[in-house]
Amino acid sequence: MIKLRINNKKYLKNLLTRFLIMIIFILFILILNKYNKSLALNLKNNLFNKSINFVKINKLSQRLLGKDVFYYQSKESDSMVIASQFNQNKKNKYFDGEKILVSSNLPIGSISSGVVVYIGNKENYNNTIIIQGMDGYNIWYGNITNVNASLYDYVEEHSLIGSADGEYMYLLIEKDNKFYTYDEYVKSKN
Amino acid sequence: MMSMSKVKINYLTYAVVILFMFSGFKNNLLYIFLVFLIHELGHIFFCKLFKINVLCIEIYPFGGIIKLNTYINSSCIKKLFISSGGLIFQLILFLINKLIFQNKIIDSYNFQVFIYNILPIIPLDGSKILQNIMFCFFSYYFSLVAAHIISIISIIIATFYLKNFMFLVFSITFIIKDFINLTYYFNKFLLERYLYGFKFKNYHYYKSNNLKKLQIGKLGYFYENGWKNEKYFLRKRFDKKA
Repeated sequence: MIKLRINNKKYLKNLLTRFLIMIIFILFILILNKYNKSLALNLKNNLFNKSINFVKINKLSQRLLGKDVFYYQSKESDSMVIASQFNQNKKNKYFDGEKILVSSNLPIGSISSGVVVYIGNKENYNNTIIIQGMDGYNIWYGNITNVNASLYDYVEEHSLIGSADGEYMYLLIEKDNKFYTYDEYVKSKN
Repeated sequence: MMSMSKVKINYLTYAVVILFMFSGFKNNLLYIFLVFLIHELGHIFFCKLFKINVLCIEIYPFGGIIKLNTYINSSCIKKLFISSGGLIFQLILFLINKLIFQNKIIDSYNFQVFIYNILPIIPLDGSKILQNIMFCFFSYYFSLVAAHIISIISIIIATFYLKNFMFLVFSITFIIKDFINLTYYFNKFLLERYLYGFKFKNYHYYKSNNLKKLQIGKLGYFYENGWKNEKYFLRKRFDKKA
């Protein structure tokens, strides 16, 4: 019984020291951020706006383990018609991207294959899905309901990701902090 | 029942699992480990059937390696069944999948693990099956050396078709270790015959004096001023010299 008590004391002491060290570390960073604005901006940008480059890891593991290792099984049925081409639709400029007019509650397919990185609300874009494409272009699909893709999953080209909420949809194509329109993107592919 | 202390996980499986999760394929991990589980259960089923003790199972990214508590001189037909047990259970899984579930991911991974394990490359099942077949017909030393040479040739051919870099690195490290230990395996084979009184049903008369001609399951007679039992030569090799 005495041995147990001594072990508990050691454990509590260790726990408290680790806890206090974490508090000191956090306070240190907060004070630094107050007096150094560039550091604060960098931190905010890296933590909240950027995401890990999943596509790079995907390509690396395909090179190491072979191409057959990642088997993708498409989920949607054959009877549904999925739109992943918007050449004929009317497009208007909307903030950094475009507002595309589609038929009511159109099921939307992914324009490129890649990894889903964000599902949720984005300012001005309503419910969005962000996909990191294997070709390097990050695509935002805005104003979407009935999301079919799960977070951090690989999505194949032309597979169902959701349906438009109403008669319009937002689209934003970005690569290395430069924004492209849908027509420019399609041109660069061909 | 198998205790958890008998199951070890190699550190490289953790690395491969992390690679899978960060590439967007976290669902596929479940299917892969299901296939591995059924493969290993195939081995264990035959071990329990022949009442052979399992020492430990180590899980690698390409499958698992089982260590058994047997002699080298035990029956090579029993060991043939144990080493092909994994592939047999994978065939059963293939049939069940085709008839009942019809899941394409299981099909794909089952097929891949099957292909990787049927290659005659040293740590995999294929080489064990090949070795156990050769032990029935050829001498122990010859079949060991032949299996190593065949595995090197098949690695060179396999890398051209499979293009799997990690597999190449793995197999080369295993084969190098095994080549270094060849003489120790042969010595253990002879030492078991010297220490434990195995009762062989068959015997064979060898013209030369070479112990490398000995075969699993057959008592050997060599000629040195008359036909002598192999025990005479083993005692010459292992007895303490006064």
